[in-house]
Amino acid sequence: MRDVAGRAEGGEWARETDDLLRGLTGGFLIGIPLMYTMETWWIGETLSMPHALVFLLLAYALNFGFVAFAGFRGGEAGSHHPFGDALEATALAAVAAAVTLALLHQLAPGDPLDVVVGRIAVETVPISLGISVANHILAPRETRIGSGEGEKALGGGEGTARAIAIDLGASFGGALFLSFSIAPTEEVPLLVTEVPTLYLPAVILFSLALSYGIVFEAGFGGQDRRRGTTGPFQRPLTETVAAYVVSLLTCAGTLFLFGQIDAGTDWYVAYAQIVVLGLPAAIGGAAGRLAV
Amino acid sequence: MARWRDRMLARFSIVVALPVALAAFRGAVPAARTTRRSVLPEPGVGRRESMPDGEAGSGTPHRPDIDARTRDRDGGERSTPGDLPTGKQPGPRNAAEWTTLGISAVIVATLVATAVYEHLARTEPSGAWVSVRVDVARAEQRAGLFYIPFTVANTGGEPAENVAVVFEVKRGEETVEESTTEVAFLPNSGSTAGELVTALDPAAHTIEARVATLQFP
Repeated sequence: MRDVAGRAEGGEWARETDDLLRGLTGGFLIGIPLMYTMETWWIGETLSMPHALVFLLLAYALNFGFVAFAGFRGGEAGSHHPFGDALEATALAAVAAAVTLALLHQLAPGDPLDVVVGRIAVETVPISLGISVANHILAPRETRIGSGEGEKALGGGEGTARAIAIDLGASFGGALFLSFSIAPTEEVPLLVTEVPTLYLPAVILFSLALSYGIVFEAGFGGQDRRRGTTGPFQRPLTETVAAYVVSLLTCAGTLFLFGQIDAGTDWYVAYAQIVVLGLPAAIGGAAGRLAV
Repeated sequence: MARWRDRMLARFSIVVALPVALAAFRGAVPAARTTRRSVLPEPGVGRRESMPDGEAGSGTPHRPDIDARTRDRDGGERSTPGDLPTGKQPGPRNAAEWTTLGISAVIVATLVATAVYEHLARTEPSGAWVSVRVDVARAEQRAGLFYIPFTVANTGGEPAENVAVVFEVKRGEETVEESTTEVAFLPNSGSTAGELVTALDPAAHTIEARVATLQFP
């Protein structure tokens, strides 16, 4: 009986983790472009504290409305605990905003407290909206490709090659969707001048962790199928790294297209721009893989 | 102001377009919607209307359309019409959910309390109070030029942007060199640092700095 109770308790935590990861996915998909917008940083700096409270209250009120009909928890659309889930969406968004802004060096030790609160409050609104509608952005346990369809239908190497092509193509498409809107802006070179060099490996790890969590942990469509496939590039870690590399190449392409980097650009500046833009691109790439 | 509004609107349009595009992408191939997992309801799970949790009845409307759609996807009716379509059951929160809710409440309460504290404890005077401090003692000579550190600080309660600072290098009463710099943005209680670059030896001259103009965001 103790084992059964223990497994049930473990299941609770696993399901809760899935729910929160699913919410974070929706939050990042909606919120990441605004986290790469310098005007939101400035607004956060100039925000009066009563105004910041209005942002937080607005986030909670909007989340309450959205979680009642969509939500981020597994199961049917709509939350059974809208008051609590709206609070969780707001808090999750605040944490996601704080971590991302810290990684981008837009929150740093020594910043005035009101600036910290202001910046987090501003970013909390779009991120929490994404969390609140996570179930409607990418429906849980739903996929366009049936279980093992890619490999089993065609069989052998042809099916595996098709599956790899679909995954990497979807990563490219998703990465392009988010990176294309950020690559031409002034934020990318600005962030490169502000983000300390040693933050970049952390940005890479964060991008990989988010990508892995979105595709293999959050309980979105095709997760079990993806975990069950046996192709050389479709083990979870291998696929995550391969998709991240595709996202980085997509970033390099879009940055080159918009003239942010060229053959004469210092290698570090190019590397840093690609890594910084790689965060939204990795999120887009993961969403792209879930969409197919 | 109009520029950032346009940029914000453009970004928000993109983030709204993303889920729409994804939803359209999924909806374009209905035959592919084949793998929704069916999880049987656990014994004792009742209708949402009969949930003991007070939140459920008040905040969640009954969604017969969703119930019907889910039954269709799963290819058959459930044993009880009101059963939920997946493993998520209504009812009291479990330990994991209570823990998350507790931590969330602490995070949001901390944010709110910090904002309230910052508002009540604010002691800066109203308006922007911008000052410039030139630190001649820390000047360095590099390649024949003198690099003299300065700090522009705003100790007022309002932020300032496009702060123009004028430096005058004087020999006696005569201004022999004048330089300007502009600080893009200075938050309230914020500061920024830079260096004045001149060929004139600061030890043999007087350097004066003043704020010429500023704008409010």
